[in-house]
Amino acid sequence: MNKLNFLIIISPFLFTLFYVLIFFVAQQLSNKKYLTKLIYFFIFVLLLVIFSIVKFYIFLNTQQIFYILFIFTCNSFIFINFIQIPISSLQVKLLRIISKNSGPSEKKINSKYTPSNIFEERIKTFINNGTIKKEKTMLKLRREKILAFYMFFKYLKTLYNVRF
Amino acid sequence: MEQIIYLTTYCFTFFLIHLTFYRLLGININKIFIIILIFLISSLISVKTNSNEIILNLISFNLFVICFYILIPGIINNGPALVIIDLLIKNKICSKQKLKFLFNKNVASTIIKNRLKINIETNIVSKKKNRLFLSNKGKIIIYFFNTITKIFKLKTYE
Repeated sequence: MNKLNFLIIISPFLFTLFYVLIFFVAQQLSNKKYLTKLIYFFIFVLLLVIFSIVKFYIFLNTQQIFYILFIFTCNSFIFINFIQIPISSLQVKLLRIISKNSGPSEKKINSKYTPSNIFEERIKTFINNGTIKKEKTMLKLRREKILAFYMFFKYLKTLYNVRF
Repeated sequence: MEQIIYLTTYCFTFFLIHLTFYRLLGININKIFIIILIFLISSLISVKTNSNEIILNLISFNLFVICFYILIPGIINNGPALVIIDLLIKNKICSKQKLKFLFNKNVASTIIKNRLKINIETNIVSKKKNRLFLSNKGKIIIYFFNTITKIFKLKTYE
């Protein structure tokens, strides 16, 4: 394997590392609207990746270009999920409750973490990250872009025969 | 271009195998063991062939499998966030009270039960005399996500 090939293999990982670093720095400055930062920094680094590909186009073939874009997208997807899991995963939340209360019963968990709590938490998260807009007592979806994710999940749920 | 078609075929085949196993046999093959197995086979192939094109494809395929592993639980299990979005799309503008009522009516009773069941089945939580305890695996998971929360200063609404 020559130097160029090695560089091509590690380049998307380096771009992801850069993405992680700028998100880290931004979070140290202000920890509000993390989701907006995650999305916009992803787009920013993706544009940087595309710019680098255009710049070094003569050294790359189609497979290598595809590889860089694909691996960067996959790595970013994994990173976004790692950030999202401690915030919104119910399974992790339940683990936290079990870890804080030594040996709770199922009944105790159900009384501590009620469906009402889950609902309030999610609404709070949605309002904070700008997915839902609150107008007095009314709630409205703010971002039409969320529809694309919704349709994607709905389609896959239909394929897997999972009902809402 | 040929290699891209190969990669797309591998990924699509993996997806079809998962879908077939899940729908026809009720088995979820999305497990850590499968990821490790694919990684070991890929390493063996890349060492044997020593072809740069194949290495690129195998790295891509392995990462696809990891992404798939992360994505699938969100599809198989009904998360509260997706349920709220579904209700809001169906009702356009909705009062918080009405949304809460619809949410409670739809899924509320099963959400926590299902998640606890998954935690017990995957040996993250152990059940002794009706009491729940974290296993070593669960302690590592909690430590890992707590570290991420601290490093990136995330708000977890506790």
